[in-house]
Amino acid sequence: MRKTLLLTLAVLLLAGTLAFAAGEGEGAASGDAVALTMFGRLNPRIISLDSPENEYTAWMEEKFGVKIEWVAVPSQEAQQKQSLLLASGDYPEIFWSGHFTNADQMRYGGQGVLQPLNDLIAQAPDILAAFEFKPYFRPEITTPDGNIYTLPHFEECYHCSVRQKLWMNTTWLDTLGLQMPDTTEDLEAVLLAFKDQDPNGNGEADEIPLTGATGTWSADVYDYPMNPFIYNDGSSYLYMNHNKEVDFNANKPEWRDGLRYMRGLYAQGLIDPQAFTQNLDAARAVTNTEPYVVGSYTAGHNRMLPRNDDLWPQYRAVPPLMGPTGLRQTAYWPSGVDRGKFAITDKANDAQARKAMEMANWAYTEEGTIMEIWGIQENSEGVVNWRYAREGELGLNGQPGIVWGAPHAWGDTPRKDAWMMELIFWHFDLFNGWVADQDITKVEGYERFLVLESDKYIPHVPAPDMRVPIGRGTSGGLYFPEDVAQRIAQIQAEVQTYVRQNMAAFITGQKDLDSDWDAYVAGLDALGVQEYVDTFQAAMDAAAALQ
Amino acid sequence: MVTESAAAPLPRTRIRESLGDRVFLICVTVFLTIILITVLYPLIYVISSSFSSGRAVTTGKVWLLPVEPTLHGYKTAFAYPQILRGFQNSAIYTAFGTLINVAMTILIAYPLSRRDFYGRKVIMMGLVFTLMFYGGLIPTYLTVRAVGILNTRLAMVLPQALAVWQVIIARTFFQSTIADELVEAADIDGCSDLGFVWSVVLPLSKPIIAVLVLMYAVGHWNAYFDALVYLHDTDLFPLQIILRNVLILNDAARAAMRASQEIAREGLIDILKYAVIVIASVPVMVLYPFAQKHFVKGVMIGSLKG
Repeated sequence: MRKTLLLTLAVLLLAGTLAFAAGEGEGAASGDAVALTMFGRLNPRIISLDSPENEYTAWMEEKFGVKIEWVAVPSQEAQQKQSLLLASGDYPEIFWSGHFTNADQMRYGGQGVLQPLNDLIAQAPDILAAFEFKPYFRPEITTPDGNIYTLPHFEECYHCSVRQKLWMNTTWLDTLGLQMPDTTEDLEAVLLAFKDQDPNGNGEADEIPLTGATGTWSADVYDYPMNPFIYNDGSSYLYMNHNKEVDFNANKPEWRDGLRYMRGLYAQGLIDPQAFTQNLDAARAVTNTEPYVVGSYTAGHNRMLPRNDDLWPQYRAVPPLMGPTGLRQTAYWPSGVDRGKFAITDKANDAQARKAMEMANWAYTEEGTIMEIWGIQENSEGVVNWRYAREGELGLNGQPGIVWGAPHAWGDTPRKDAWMMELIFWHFDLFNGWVADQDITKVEGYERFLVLESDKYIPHVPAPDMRVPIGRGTSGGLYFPEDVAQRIAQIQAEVQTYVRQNMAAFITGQKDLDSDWDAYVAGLDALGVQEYVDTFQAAMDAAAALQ
Repeated sequence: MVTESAAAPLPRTRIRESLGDRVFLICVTVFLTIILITVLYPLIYVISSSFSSGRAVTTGKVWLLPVEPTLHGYKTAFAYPQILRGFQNSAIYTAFGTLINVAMTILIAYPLSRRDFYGRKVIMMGLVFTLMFYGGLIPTYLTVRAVGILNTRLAMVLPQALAVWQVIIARTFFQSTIADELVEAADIDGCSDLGFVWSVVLPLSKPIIAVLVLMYAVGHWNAYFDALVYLHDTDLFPLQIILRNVLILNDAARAAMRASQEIAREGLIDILKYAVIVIASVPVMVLYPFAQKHFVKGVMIGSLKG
């Protein structure tokens, strides 16, 4: 009895162990190929990164004479896994698709975990060409010790650079015989007409003149209407004042004027009360339900709210409005530098580092970038993912195109002919050379549509010396030492919440712009606004001194 | 006074509930119905959405029953080889992980339940200690690496081989159901300890085994963090990792950057999301009814006297 029991257990456990152990397998370097371990984000659509199953991996291995062993990490968790690997000392030789914030670069670079790339870059012609082509590029990735530790995902997206847009139903404008608004006063008049004159013609006063959504991409309803009064990017709340110094906007009299204007709109029932709380899904449901009731909405791009084919082409962007003082401007995010992706760790020997840099150099060429975005040109099943533009094919900007990308490449099917990790140098010209349908009323022409709509905003961006280099959110822009970066992030998060809550409170009338304003400003001071501004100014001065 | 009222004959009428009782009952019914709806509605919504067209889901037309019914979501989900592979992996981890868990738990819980087991208090304290103090993520990771099971299937089952809570529940169950007399009787008949466990304890412990199996199995099925930390070979990923990865295709901030990328996927993501949630939940939902009757009993024993 006893023996049977023991034997049963032993056999079961042993069987389990064997079954599990089968999961391991090491591919040693074949021939004289250089073996590399690389950290890669696994895009959900990519079945496997390992060669030969992944054709692009096989292609790259062949091209560069390397043998890649991936440390594949699901994209959402990549940052967590990266910290774990670095903290435990168990990191790979190369990060192909890491996630290094500016503070990370300074920390791991300073510790010697990441190798300085300067010398290798000096021998990488296409990276140097990229630096030359975009003069702001190199300074934005150079840490304060003068070293470059990571290469970023570089993507200049034309329409995203002016993403604070207001979209208005032009059919309603035509129905009521109105013009596209040009000033803040015009906007008020148009919204009032939307509310009172039944533009959707169903006999009911169900119209929502202006709405938006929270927690998504530049869809907060109060950000766009603030710019005719004072520069507002809706996230850092920093701007350059007349002395060309960094300053904070949300405690200025002009900010109060902007709030007073929006309070006026709200009091007349022109701003949707839901706009301050609803998420994108809720806003979308309201917008797409017939009869259509939304007159205008704030959003990073048109189709964030309207989705129906007959509906979205009716909405066109309202150009930046002129305020009472004659100010007309739009918030601007010009930088293409995203967080650090490529890095070489101290585990890589010289040969490995050189090979890795050759590959990174390739990723920054036009063809390398295209292949990183759309995959291998024609895969083993004969599927064409992209090709160079043919004679007569036009790009997003209406000029002769550069590259045509197959729609399926960005669809939903699983793939094994691409990496999609986006170590790319995708500058404006290449982006705009992307062949698109020129009919902007069709979904196929949507990117072209966005370029045209953005053209209305680009003339009103701040002059180069009037821009605060805030980068793209979490990284890019300025370098702060880690403790300072944490402090800044903390202040910024608190300020964002505080400013947004109070904007909603002032606009909806929960707080009074006369009696509660001083307390609001005092509250901002208590959050450390002065320290926040001073830190940015100091970092800008330091960066300028480094050049 | 007490004797008096007790002695008084009860009125021989049909038992009618007083007004207070009825109000109470109605309140309870209403309250439970509300709870039922709150629990059931999201479930129905997810199932309905998974069978609806993506367009209907995005535009908010689905609220109870499927709109424009389609199997497109499921077809797309199963077109991903990763999902099937993940399903297989999860099944393996769940089956073998649970087997190891239950074996380990019983092998330590039973001795701890015996009063004549020398040093049981110290061992128990050692176990409880681990409940309150955790070595930390990185030391644990380093241990797993040093043992040499990093990036193997074993990393998914060995680090979690025992859950102290389950040991406590099982021990309490054994203490309250396996009488000392039983042990003595078996002893006199010449039965060994292991033999006793096998032929007396286990047959008497079906409820607690059901509880252990269910708790551990659900834990393994839902586990993703260990996989995230210990695995980097895509062939070994369990279903949950794949699902999380597929779900975040819909990450609003990223998608907005590439308007046309979003268009290529729009709608589909919404149904894929629901189809995938249904796929992931079905095994646990199927398992639960079988264990349920034991489950209530087993948990009650564990909790009441623990």
